[in-house]
Amino acid sequence: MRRARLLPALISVLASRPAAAQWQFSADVGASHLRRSDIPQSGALTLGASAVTAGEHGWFRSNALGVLANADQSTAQALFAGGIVSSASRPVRGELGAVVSAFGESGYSMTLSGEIMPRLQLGSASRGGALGFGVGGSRHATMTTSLAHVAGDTWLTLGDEQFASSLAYVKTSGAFVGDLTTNAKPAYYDLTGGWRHDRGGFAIGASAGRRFAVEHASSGTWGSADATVWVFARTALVASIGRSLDDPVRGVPQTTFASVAVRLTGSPHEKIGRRRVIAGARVSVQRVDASRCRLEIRGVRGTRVELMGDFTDWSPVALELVGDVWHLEKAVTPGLHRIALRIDGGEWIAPASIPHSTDDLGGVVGLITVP
Amino acid sequence: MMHKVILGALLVTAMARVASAQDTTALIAGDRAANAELSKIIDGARANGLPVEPILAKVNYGVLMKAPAARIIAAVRGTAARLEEARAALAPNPTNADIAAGENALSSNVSVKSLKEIRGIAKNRPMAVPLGLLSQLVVSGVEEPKATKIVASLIRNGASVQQLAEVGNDFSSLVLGGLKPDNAIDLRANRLYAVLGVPTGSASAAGDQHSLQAGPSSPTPPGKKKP
Repeated sequence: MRRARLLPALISVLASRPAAAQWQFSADVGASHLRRSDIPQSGALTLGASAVTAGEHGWFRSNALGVLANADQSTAQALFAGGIVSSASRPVRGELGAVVSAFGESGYSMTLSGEIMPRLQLGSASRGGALGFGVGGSRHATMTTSLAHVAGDTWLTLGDEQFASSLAYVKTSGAFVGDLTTNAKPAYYDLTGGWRHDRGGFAIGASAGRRFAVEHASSGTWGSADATVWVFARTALVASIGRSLDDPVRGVPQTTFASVAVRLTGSPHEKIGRRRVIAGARVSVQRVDASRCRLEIRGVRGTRVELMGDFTDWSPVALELVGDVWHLEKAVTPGLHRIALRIDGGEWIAPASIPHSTDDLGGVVGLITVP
Repeated sequence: MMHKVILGALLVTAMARVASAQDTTALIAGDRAANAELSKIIDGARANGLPVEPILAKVNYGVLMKAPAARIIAAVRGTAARLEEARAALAPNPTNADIAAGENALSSNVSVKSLKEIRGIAKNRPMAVPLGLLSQLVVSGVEEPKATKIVASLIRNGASVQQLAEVGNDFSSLVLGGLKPDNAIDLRANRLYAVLGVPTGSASAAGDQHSLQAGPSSPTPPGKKKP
């Protein structure tokens, strides 16, 4: 995780669709080739993890990243961010956000920082903007600094494309990296733009930015690009490359990096799951009376089978097992219906024994005719 | 000097967008503009005398799939247009269930011509199950003229709704076994023809009436009419 990766992640969160409250976990294991201005190039093992949850009136995100080059060369970073939001259905919303972060490297004191920022949001999940003003502070060894932060950002989603931009002004009372002269009080503007394309099992993104120094800071540019390929529903390969500038707030120096990693997630990637069908699962349906019918699923091995479809309002319904047949009785109107099955909490997929189609919203579902 | 491996900046998500749980009072939570557009489409369909349940089902599905609002709106517009088209194709006086079945078929790439042809065969009987079968066959790769002809033939020969549904729901297993879709449906339909008796053209009106009514039904042995 680096500043240059801020915007790609920012885009994915900014432009994400509203979701029911649920936890999402992921872990990355990989290798990086790193370079900083005053140290030689080196390779390292990287370990990362993240946890995200969101509800109607709030959200929480945590990220952790560790880098190990050898026994006495390592760094670790962690970030915890959360927010409380007023009613999401209004066009103008208030948000109170907070961030706490820590950065440490072997042989040096840890840098801790925190910030609280109230924000005003306009628009919707697919397009909008926000403006906020934050205050906070950092501590490194015996040195404590304060900061003021004004930021505005915008986001836009068009089909599979997501765009975001931000302009921020940061003023601190001291620095742990960059200009370390006495009484240095860095102030600067950061202008950033980014794009992400996410379709099927492939995602690619890029971001770039420019820092305009006001005082006791260096102007410069940064950028990053990354690509993710989902090889299984819960496993992806991630490659990234980029360059980040000094972060005076969190004490993280400028870095150039290239990395590859294997990502493991707790939840299956939806767009991979949609393309899969359950081979061997056989579906049959009989009408029981004028309103109810009985669905039976055979040839499925598992301890829990769930079904969702247009007649369940796309909510999962657990089937009952009698012998080797999973069944469900429910009120269903005659005609064509769309269904998907899930076994033991895995991804939702269409049974191979019935026709399946990809609809105009990108989902693959099974088609069943109910008598 | 100790060589240090520096990782880089932390991912700062102070500006991270909030995600909201679904608001049951809004079609798409947190998106007022999209909800206004969707409401306009739904109100228009309702005022036009079309069933709105297929439209709401499409929205629910789109939200579940976390599709962008713009894409959901486009899909809903398509559904509304197909409902109108289905009503015209299944005229006169199609029920809401028939219209919804027709929209389902059109969204499965069944043509208006085939809808009209099936309507002509089924006359005033419920269309949902025959059109469901037709949709399944076309989606599976059976040539549409052939699929339409087979569905029409099964209707004429007194196939019950249960029998029609079974043809659609299990012929894919033959495709999985290696048959081409056109051959698989021939095989499956022939099995049903054997149960229905030798095809001799249109069945009696009484037989057709019972065959296509919803409700428990059992195959008619060859040579015998349904009571």
